Amino acid sequence: MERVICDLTIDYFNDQLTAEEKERFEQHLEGCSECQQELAEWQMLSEDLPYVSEMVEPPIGMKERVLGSILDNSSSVAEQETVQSDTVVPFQQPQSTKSGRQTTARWIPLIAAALVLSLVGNAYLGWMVQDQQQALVTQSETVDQLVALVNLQPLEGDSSGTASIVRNGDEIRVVVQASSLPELSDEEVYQVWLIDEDGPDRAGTFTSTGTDGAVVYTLPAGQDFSWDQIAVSHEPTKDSESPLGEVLLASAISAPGNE
Amino acid sequence: MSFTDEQLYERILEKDSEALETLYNKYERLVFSFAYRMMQDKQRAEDVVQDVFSKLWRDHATFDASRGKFSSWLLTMTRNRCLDLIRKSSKQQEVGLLDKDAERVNDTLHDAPEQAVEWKEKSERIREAMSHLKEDQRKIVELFYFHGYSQDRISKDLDIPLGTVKGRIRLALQHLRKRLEPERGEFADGTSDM
Repeated sequence: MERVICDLTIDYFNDQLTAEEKERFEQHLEGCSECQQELAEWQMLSEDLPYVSEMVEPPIGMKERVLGSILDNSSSVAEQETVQSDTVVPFQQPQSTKSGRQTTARWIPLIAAALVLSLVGNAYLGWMVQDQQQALVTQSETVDQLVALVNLQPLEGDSSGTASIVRNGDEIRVVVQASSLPELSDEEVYQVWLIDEDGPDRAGTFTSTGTDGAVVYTLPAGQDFSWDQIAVSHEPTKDSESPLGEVLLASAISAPGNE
Repeated sequence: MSFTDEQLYERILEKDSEALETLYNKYERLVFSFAYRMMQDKQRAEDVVQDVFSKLWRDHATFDASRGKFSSWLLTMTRNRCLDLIRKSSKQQEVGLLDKDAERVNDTLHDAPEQAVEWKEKSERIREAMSHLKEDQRKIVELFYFHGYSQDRISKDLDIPLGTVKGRIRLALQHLRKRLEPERGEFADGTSDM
């Protein structure tokens, strides 16, 4: 019997035990020096085995993307209490540019629907947005300049969300926060799109914690905010260069200076 | 003045972004290469790098110096994150060949920074140890360590009894330990892990 529990050491190391097995093994581990030693040896080997990997040159710009996202996220979250830090999981900056983007025919009806729904929704929920906007404007006087705050209208399902566009010096950030999102599976993500007459541009990918998610997207330095709509879609992978999945949320936004 | 990894870690807890960048610079290649080895996909490996350093910065991942070196802890975090993603995607890729890596590892070292020297030493040492394993033991280490397979899964995939899986993994561990132990300690991480 004791032997059987000792045999779980390897699967314990690989976190392959059920909660019950894990608890049982940990109780056993406290009194079994043999298992303790075996586990310690595997942990020690973990210092060496990764070096079996060949040295691979990281992709160009990875450092900027990784650190930029972490630090940008961190400061945005600290400055804006409206963003829940534990749900912010951006992991990819947009790869397309203004010149390289594609207009998707199927996007057009969605844009129209988004506009109509946005107008109706904005009237209906105007008082809610006003309250939030007022709160953010008050807060932003000391940290950022709030350019716009929009209430994202659901096109599919019962998701809801807000998008705020914030200027901090030369930098413009788009903060999208959504809730009641459908569950993700496999490699699925939510993708934020900024839209103008030329079509959608990628503006941050995010996943969710539970049914809530958020992303902070920083525009390239010096770029003006020129889009007039924003949307969130449910994408099969984070690599979608144009919307492939369902558009969950959308709304019209006002460009800077039009506020 | 250079800081130890532990000192940098402490400063990260105090939200010192320079400390984060210093640690990132030091471990970027290692974490990325290891993640790439496990994920076999550069974008997914980059996602892992982002997750690991985000965890370090945002979630105050807890490092306990009394339980081992910082680099080991970072690599364990990397491995765990990779295994999470692999299991989540249910797309466990076919086994990569260690021999293939062995042929290519030195090609990228000529222009690498000083960490490459340490990398080369460690790489040669573990490869030398692995080379003394029998093919079936190496395969099983690959499935167990780099793919995070359970013993049951290995048993099914390789069509060998569960008892044989356990035996081979243990035997591989003993062989590796025997080869690595006499040299262990000769490769301290310089100033960073004092």
